[in-house]
Formats: sequence, structure tokens, C-alpha cells
Amino acid sequence: MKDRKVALASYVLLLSFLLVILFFASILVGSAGLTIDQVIGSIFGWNQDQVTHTIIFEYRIPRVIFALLTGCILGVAGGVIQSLTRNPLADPYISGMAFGAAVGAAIGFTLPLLFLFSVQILAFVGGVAALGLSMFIARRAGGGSMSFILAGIAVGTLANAILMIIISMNPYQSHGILYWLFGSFTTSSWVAIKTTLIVSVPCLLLIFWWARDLNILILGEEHAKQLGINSKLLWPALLIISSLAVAVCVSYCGIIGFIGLVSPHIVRLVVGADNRFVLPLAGFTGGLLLLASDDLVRLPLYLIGELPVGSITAMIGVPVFIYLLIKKGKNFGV
Amino acid sequence: MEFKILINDLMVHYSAIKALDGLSLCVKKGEMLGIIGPNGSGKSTLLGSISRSVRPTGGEILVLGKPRDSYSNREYAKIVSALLPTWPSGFNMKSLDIVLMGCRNSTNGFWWESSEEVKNAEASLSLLNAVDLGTRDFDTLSSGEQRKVMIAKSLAQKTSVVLLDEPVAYLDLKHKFEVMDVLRSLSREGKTVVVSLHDLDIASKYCDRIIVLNHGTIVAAGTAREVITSDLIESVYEIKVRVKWDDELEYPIIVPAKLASREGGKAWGKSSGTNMELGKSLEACAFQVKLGDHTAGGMG
Amino acid sequence: MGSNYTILAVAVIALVVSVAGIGLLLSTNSALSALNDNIASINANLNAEIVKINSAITALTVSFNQTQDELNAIKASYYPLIVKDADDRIVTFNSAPQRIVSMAPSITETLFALNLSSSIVAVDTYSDYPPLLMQLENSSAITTVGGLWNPDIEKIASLKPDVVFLDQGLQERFVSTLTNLGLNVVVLKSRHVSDVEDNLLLVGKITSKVTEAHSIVNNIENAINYVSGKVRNAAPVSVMEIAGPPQNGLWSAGNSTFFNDVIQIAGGINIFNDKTGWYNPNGEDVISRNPKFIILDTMDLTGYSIQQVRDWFNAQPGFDKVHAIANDNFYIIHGQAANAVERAGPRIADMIKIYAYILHPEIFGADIPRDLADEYQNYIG
Repeated sequence: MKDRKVALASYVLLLSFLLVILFFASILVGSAGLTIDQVIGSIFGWNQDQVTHTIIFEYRIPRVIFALLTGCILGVAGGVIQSLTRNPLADPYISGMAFGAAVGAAIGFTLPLLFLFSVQILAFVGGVAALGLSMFIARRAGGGSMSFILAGIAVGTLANAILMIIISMNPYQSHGILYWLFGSFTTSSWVAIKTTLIVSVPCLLLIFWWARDLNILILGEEHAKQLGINSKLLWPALLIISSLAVAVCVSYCGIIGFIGLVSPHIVRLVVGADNRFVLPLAGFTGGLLLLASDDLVRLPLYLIGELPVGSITAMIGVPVFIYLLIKKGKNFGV
Repeated sequence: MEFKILINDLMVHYSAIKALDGLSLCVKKGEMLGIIGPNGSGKSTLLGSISRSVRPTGGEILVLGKPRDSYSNREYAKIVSALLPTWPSGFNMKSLDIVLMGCRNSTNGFWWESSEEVKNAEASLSLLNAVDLGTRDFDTLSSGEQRKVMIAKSLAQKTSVVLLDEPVAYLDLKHKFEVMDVLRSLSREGKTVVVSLHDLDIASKYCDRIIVLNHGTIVAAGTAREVITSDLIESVYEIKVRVKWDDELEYPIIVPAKLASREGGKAWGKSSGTNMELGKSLEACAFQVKLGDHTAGGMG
Repeated sequence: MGSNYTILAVAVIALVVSVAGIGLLLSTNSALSALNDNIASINANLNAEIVKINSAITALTVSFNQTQDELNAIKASYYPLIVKDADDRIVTFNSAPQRIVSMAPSITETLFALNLSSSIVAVDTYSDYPPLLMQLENSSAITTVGGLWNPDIEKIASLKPDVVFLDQGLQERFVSTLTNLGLNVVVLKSRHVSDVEDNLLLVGKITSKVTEAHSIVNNIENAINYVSGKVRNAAPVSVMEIAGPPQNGLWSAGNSTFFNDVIQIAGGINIFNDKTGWYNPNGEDVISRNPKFIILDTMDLTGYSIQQVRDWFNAQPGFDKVHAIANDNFYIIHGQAANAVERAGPRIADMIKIYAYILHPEIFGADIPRDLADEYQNYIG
């Protein structure tokens, strides 16, 4: 199908181009008051100022890359989960993972420092535990995607309740926990990027490998089985690997919503629901959206200070979401 | 005689409900078997048992000589294809892509399907006279058109056993017969085709053998002539009918007994003779009626 | 004849005498020699002592010189200085920090108390004391770098600070981000009153303002000791400590809060010290625990007037029976007075005194107004 290959390639090229432009624009944004030639000079070497170099290479560039990476992972995972649950309103946190990770982070904030990365590790563990619990309950409840959604709601609500208790018992950390929840890329680092890449690259590769079968899973477990797919293995496998990649990001940057929900839909409006198109393009779209949001957050507006990035993604995401709801809601019988 | 499908004392119980209760059946190679019966008699459950959607509570099913569950998913998909009665909506893919899913088992392509698979898919669609549906979004098709695409998907699997649950529901006259023609030609090629149908007459015309299900068991089996009788229909469908076989067309005419004669019965659809009387009855329902040159209520 | 006998007698006598004499001589000799030995040994001892004393004197001199040298050396080699912060992190300072960033109001006040205002380049947006700070901000000598929960990392880095002080409770997660940028980060705790003194000493050590630090700590210690001493024999009085206007929700400090420490030192007992963190009591809790005093602390009354706050308490059913309300023991502390008691900074000593004056008027004889704000300094004896 030559024209489809051409179509995908051209979309990818276009989005890559946008990405590169946004990448460079993002490096110019920041509150350190660096001028364009300072930035360019530092990157290309003729500006030897150590502080400028450090800010750009140890703060801005890692932050931009990590925001891109997170947006990409969220977009792909969102597309996967929407296909797996056949629910257009699903996002990667549907398993209750968001609140599970928040509980983990909250425990990390309130326990005395045992090791340096306690918040990250505990957040990751919390997210994975919530996912595991949802899957366990769903399997006991019959194993369909509806039971999974409901189990996720149950687990998420429970985790939220635990989170509230932890916050109210620890007044000094409550603000910190809340700001972590809002999501922020302030603490991005090369370590974060490396760790995330190590976990998410294999996961994303596997997801793309299975993109064709994911299409078939949309027809339903019965149909998929009919066509020779071991949906009993594939469904949980896809769920786990996409959630793992998201959990790694979340453990560093907190809960950032709407990217996972909205990016796949934006792509589907243009290219239809074939996951071979949707997943890679949703990755690009998610990365662009999230990076743009983080840039808005980093603009030096001294009056406001740095806003939580989750609120900006919501402000961009909600209008898009409402538009989609109105336009396509009729089809879903919503 | 080689049995493609052998079913022995099949039982499917869902707690209190006995969907299938001790059913035995054998289907030959190249046979087109029709399953008829009232709603809830177990037709879908039977097809589902063979297609592995349903887990039997008891009994055994042998497909191509081996127990049903001894095959892996992939292997089974190469021998049995099924048209399931429902599919989810809301995710929009091109119809051709849906048909292409049928080729998944024989796929060589990694990301995109190979050109052979595309040809195969297009061939399946053209068999059903539905090539023009291929480029359209699946969600925009009517139920009948969607059904054709799904049938094409099953055909694209190129299996030796084809199961279809209500393949011609929602299809108009022309497409009904088109599809049934295709199915029959498949069975003539040597495929084993099992269909469940509500249209008794279509079943009679196309199926080599018909089995009648009621309350989860087979109450009759045989050729159309043997099975489609007014007695059987009355006992199974609980409606009195008159069955008249047109010998030239080899086609049964089935009419409810009440409508079989002109006299008797105040059936709503009964022709009441003059427009006037029709007008009166409509008036009684408080409609304003204009009868050509006459006005409502007038007698002239 | 008779002369022989004489000669014999003389000879015998001579013999006896010589024998005796020899004996005497001999014994005297040993005595003498013993004496001599004694003397010699005494002499030797004396000599040894003298030697010891001499060497001691020498040693003392040497060590005196050494100490002088050391002192000089210490003065010259105060840096590089290695300290441990509240996270047990080891931080090295190669010279006295000249560019300091403070990310919490308590830390800012500590720095100003140590006369380091000229070394501060940036503070957080909540820091607002002392007045000199506002002057320096207005003249742009000091800039702000974000709030307590969202410090502006890039701006901090662009100011090239020699040290950034973070609060452990608020900003722990930014430690690695700042250290990745090559900055010196020192984390300070602010959980207990004792942390105030530790922080003063640590900051003083880092900035080689040890004397000043000790002097301030001494003052704080004196104030605390003065207060503790006086209230030691009095029964602790029950206190309910409220944060913020009650219209925003009634929140009372529990046992792991800074307020709890202050109350204890001032001779009070927190009625909610069996609760952890911040507790949201209902009417029953307050009435059943019947505090003798209610102290409400809030920096900002968020638009409510003092009277509105008092009216709220009066309007709660059953509160008119509560001892603190019936006996007009309801104190509202706001403005800078509230800052002084909420922040783990050098002003805490003043507020401990104020609290003690409030809770034990019978001991201190002070009359603190029921509504206390920036003028709290006038009441510190």
C-alpha cells in the first residue's frame, strides 16, 4: 500500500520538522534573561561563559527533551489504552495509576530521607501497584475491558482517599505533595531522561510492533481471538508496557493530564483510527503539545511565577476535548 | 465420508439457563448446513461453541478430526472463520482495513500488509460485490453494508470451515441473494459452511441440510422438504402456518394460517374494499382525511 | 712493773678507742653516705623536677607559640570549610560566601540577624522582614526568585550564587536540580525551636560569623531559660492554637507543629497535642477540652476584620461557655507578630516571651493586648 506508506511518512516528516523548530524555540525560553546570541553562542561554542553553558546544557536542554519524551509517551500510551478499552474517554491513568503514584510520592515526601530518589522510586512503585491491583480485580470480575475500567475507578478512588489522609496528617508537606501532583518539569535532569529511555524505548518498540494487532483488538476480544490473536496475552501485555512507560515519566514529573487523552483524538480526526498511523503521530503530537505547554509555563512572567504545567495542558486540552465531544459525541451515544 | 465438524452431546449451561442441552451433530466437507430456530433456541450459542467464543460445559467438539481446544489461536484462525453477530462501533477505520484483518494470519508484512494480502482482501470484497465499500469509513456504512464487510473479512481468512451467524440480516433483497450465492459457491468449492438464518425460505433454497433448534436441542434435521412442514413450524415457532412448496421453483411459501383465507379475522392489513371504508376507519383514529374528490365523512 | 700495766691500759684504751672510733667512723660514714645518698637522690629528684619544669616550661612555650601559630593558621585556613546540612549532606566552602540565595523567610531573617544583608543576592517572594530587606529589594540590590513551592531554578542559577539555602520541608526535591547546575546547596530544617539555634550556628559557621551566631543563640537561650525558669513551677495552662481566620476553616495545631514547641516552652499545654499535624476540630472538641486560652495566629486575615473573627467564635453554639471566651482570654496575633511566631527564625525568642506573658500573667505581670500585630516589639520586657 504505497500511498499509505507515503502518507505516514509525510505526516512524520511534517511533525518532525515542527518538533525541531519548537525544540530550538524552547531552548531560547527561560527566566535567566539569556539573549538569543548568548544561547546560540553557548551551544556552538563561541560563548564560553560557564554559567550560561550550565543553564543551557544542564537545565534547559534536559527539561525540553524530557518534556518532549513525556508528551510522546503519554500520547502513545493514551492511544493504546483507548484502543484497548474501546473507550474514547480513556487516558493512561484509567487504571488508577495516577493516584497510586501520588500516594507513593506522598509517602516519599513524608518519610525521613532513606535514599536520595525516594519520591521517584515510591511514585513508580505506587503507580505500578495500582495498575496491578486494577488488573487483578478486573480479572476476577470477568476480565472484560469494562470491568477493568470500573476496577480502575475503584482503585483510583481508594488511592485518592489514602492520599487525602496522608496530606492531612502532614501539614508541612501538603503543599509539596500538591505541587508534585500538579506536575512540573522543574526537576528534569539527564538522569531522568536516561532512566525514562531505558524503560520506555523497549516498551514503545513493542507497542509499535503490535500496532496491527491492536487494531484487531478494537473489534473486541471475540473477534480478535477469531482472527488468531491471543488476546488473553496481548491485552494485558499492551496495558502493562504502556503503563510502565507512563509510570516512569510520572515518577519524575508528576501527573500531567489531557495529553494522553487528547493527542490520539486530534490525530484520529485527521487520519482515522488505524493505530499504525495514530500511535506514532500521537507520540509526536503529544510531545509537541506538552513542550509547548511547558514553554508557556517557563516564560518569564515575573508576576505569576511558574505555573503548574498540568493546568496549562488542561487549558489547551479542555477546549479541544469539548470540541471533540460535541463533534463526535453523537457517534458514541454519549 | 470425512466429517469436518463432529459434535457430541454438547452442553452449554449458564448457571440456571441451559443454552444447549445435549446436542450432537456432524457436518461433512463441502456441506452447507443451515441452522434455524426461534429466538433463544441456541443458534448463536451453537455457532459460538464451534468458533470458540463460548466455553462448553460438557460434551466434545472435534474440528477437522482434532478436539476444538487442541488448536492454538493462530492455528484455529487458519481453519475456522466466524461471522459474529455483533461488533463494536465508534472507532473509525476504512472498510478495506477491516477486511485486511482477516489476512492477519497469513501475513508477511510487518507494519503494512503485503500486496498479496491487499489483493486477497479486494477479491473477498468483490466476491460480495462490495468493492466500492472498501475505501469508505466503516462507521459510515449501513448495518447491511457493514455486515457485508464483515463477511468479506471472514472470507479473507480463507479457512476451510466458515461459520456465519445471521449473515443476511438487514440486507435488502438483492444483497441477500448475492451473499447466499457466494456462500453456496464456497461450499461447492469444498468449504464447509454453517449458517444460522431466520429466513426459512432462504435456508430451504440454499442449504444442503437444515437442522432445527429449539430449547437448546435439535428437534429436526434433514433436507428442507423434510424439515419445513407446518407441523414442525407450529411446534417450534408456536404459530400456525400453511406451507406450500412451489415445485417448479423448489421454494416454500410460508404464510400464517390466519391470513391464508380471505374470510375471517379483522386483521389490520386486510383489504377493506373501498376507500370510503378505509376513510371511515382512519377517521375513527381522528385523522383528517381527503379522499380524492370526496371529503371525509361524505358519502358521495 | 707498774708502767707495763699502764702501757697495757693505754694500749687497750687506744685499741678500744680506735675500734670504737673506726666503728663510729664507719657507721657515721654510712650514715653520711646514706645522707649523702639521700642528698644525692634529693638532688637528683630536684634536678629531675627542674628538668621537668624546664621542659614543661619549654613545652608550654612551644605550645603557646604553636597555639598562636595555629590560631593564625586557623584564621588563615578557615576555608576550605566542610559542613553537614540538615540532610546530612557534606558541603564544602572554599571561601566566605559573598552571594547568598535564601528560599524561606525564616532563613532570610536568620541571615539578616547575622548582618549578612550585603551578601544576599536573592530571596523568595514570601520573605518580608526585616524592613531593610524591603529597602534592598526596592533598590534592586536583592531580587526575588520564586515562591516557596516553585523556586525559579534558572533565575537562581543565572545569579551565580555561592550558596543557596533551602528549607527541608518545602524544597527537598529541588536539591538535585540545583546541585546538577553546580551550585552549593545547604538544606535547613525548621521543625522545632531547637532548629532555629542549629540553623543560626550553621549559617554563622559557613559565613564565618561564628561570634555573632553564638551571641544570638545565647540571647535566644537566655530568653528561653528565663521563661522556662519562671514557668517551671506553675501548672501549664491549656491553649488552643488556631491558624488563620476560622471562616476559612477551623484549623488547630497538633503535636508535630512548630507552635506546639512554642506553647510548651511558654508554660502552656496544647489541647490538641494528641493529634498529629493540623487538626480540624468540631464544636464538641473545643467545648469538651475547654481551653483556658485561645490564640489565633495569622499573617493575613484574608479580608476579615478582627471583630468578624471574634464574632464567629461567639456565634458558635456552646462556645460562650468555653473558658477562654467567657474570660476574655482570646488573643489574635497577626501581621509581623504572626510571622515572628510562625517562622523558625531569630524572632522566635521574642514570641516565646509574648506567649509566656499571655499564658502566665500572674508570673510576668504583663498585659498583652487581645489584638497584637506589628507593635509586638513594644511588649517584650
